Amino acid sequence: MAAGLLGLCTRRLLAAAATRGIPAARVRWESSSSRAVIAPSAVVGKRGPEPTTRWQEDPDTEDENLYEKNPDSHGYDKDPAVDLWNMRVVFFFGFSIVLVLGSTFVAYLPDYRWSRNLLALAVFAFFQGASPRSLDHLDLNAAQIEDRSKRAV
Amino acid sequence: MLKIIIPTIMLMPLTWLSKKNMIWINTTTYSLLISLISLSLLNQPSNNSLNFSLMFFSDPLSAPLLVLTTWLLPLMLMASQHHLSKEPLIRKKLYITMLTMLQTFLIMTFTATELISFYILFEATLVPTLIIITRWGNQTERLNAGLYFLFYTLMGSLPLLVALISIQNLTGSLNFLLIQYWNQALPDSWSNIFLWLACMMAFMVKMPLYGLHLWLPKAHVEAPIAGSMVLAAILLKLGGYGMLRITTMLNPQTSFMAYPFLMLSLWGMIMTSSICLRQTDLKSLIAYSSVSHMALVIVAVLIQTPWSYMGATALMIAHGLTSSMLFCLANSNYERTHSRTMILARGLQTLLPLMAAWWLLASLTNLALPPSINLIGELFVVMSSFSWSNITIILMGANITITALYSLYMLITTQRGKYTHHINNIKPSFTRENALMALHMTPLLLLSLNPKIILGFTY
Repeated sequence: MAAGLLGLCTRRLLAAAATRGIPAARVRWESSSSRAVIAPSAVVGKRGPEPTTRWQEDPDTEDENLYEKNPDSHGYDKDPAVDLWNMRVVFFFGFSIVLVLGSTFVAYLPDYRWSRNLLALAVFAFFQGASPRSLDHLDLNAAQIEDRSKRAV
Repeated sequence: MLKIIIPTIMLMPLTWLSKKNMIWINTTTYSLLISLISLSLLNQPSNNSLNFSLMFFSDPLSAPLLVLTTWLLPLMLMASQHHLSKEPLIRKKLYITMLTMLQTFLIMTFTATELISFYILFEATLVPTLIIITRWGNQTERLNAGLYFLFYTLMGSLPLLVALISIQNLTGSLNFLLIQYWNQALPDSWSNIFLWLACMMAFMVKMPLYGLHLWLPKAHVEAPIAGSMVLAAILLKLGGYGMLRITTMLNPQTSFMAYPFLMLSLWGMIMTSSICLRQTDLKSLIAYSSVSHMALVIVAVLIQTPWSYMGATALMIAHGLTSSMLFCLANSNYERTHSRTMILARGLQTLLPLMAAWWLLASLTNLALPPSINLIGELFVVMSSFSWSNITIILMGANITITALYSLYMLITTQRGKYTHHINNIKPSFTRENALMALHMTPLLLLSLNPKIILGFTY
């Protein structure tokens, strides 16, 4: 707590020194608990610079702009040929193959509830005494999907 | 199932044996093809389940989750390509190997017939995720995040191991296919109450339940993009899946044991949604949003009605795609500004209008706009919880409102208004990023045309 208070006093002193231009000891203060840094201005003037705080989470990276060397970059790779082929592969397999063929497959999945109902009715009728031949000629309209709104919530 | 598991395992030799400039192309291609094969599992002709072998099966609950898992791997690979571009080749290959290993364990977890096998694979998924978070996370806090992630889940799941061994002793088998016909009620005793707690706590920590959720914001925020995507989209759903499976064996204790957890979830969804309104860190906002959505799933699973199960399943799939997309969008900001602070990257709509369109769509699905499957899931859960107790509508309604508030807050803060002076040199959106968003959004929109495949086994 004492260290925190000491830090607080130091901060106030440095802030006063920065704003009012009072010559102060050239002390650079870094917080141990946060990433705040108080650095007094190198130029002694009426108003010093704001205290510096790192605003980026990983500030040491050097960003490589892929568009600089390759204006047609798709963002996959530095090498334009690899970049182009990667884009083509993603679009072909991702959209044309998986999404198109996959959604067609899913759309054409049969409604198994209906077919199961139909079979259940026919088997029930058979065990009630219907002839075995009735299983060969099923009444397709007999199977109704139950009204879900009447089911218990 | 081997038609999915073996190709997934073989992605590892594919990665290591591919040429330097072909690793991403090869792995993305084959993982997309694996996701195509996994769609065949949606064809469920039997009333019961699709039994592949004694070890693997799939039913209308696990099939959509499996398809989501296999669909997410190529998306994770695409999202990771940029931040790994400066890494040495060996580390890139290691990263892809970790993702593939995680994928294999997840596929086997969702299709395991036997509960001990499910448990082992459930724990095994922790290892590659921990490695991804602690090795490839960006800040020093990733180590703490990894610790929280690992130990919260382990603490929750060790009692589950004891409980499973005890149930194996009692029933003689832990096979899902047999246990669903085990109609014997658990006798009412203190030890069975502890058995209930032991079984459920692992999944409560995984979901996570509000109160046990502290690992989630840390892990989601500190993980690299692929880690955040898989955590939000799949690993949380492991908890939901586990709860849905194990509650079949835990009657009648669930009817009274569920109350404290229902209260925690109902209150927790309000609290975590409210926390979202006060977040400055974008990834942290999305992480808390996940806790809020999963609280709805917990409520649905514990209520145990057909509609609530439909809502839980739909919400898991919908949230998986939505939150993964939100993390990708946050990552696209992060790659440009190297900061997760929302207000530092604002007014982006004028600079990146197409990305703003993706932000809009993702925010709208996050707030469960009709006719998305997010709405279908939430609506089923709200309706069934109203049927369970009328008063819950107040909390559910408040949650829906606050969800809309923070989703729009996130959208407006990042997209609208005047851009800051320091971000006028950000790069335009890459095709990769737009393709990534489209590959998230298209299945989400297509599913709203045919939601019955994600409504689970009570449809």
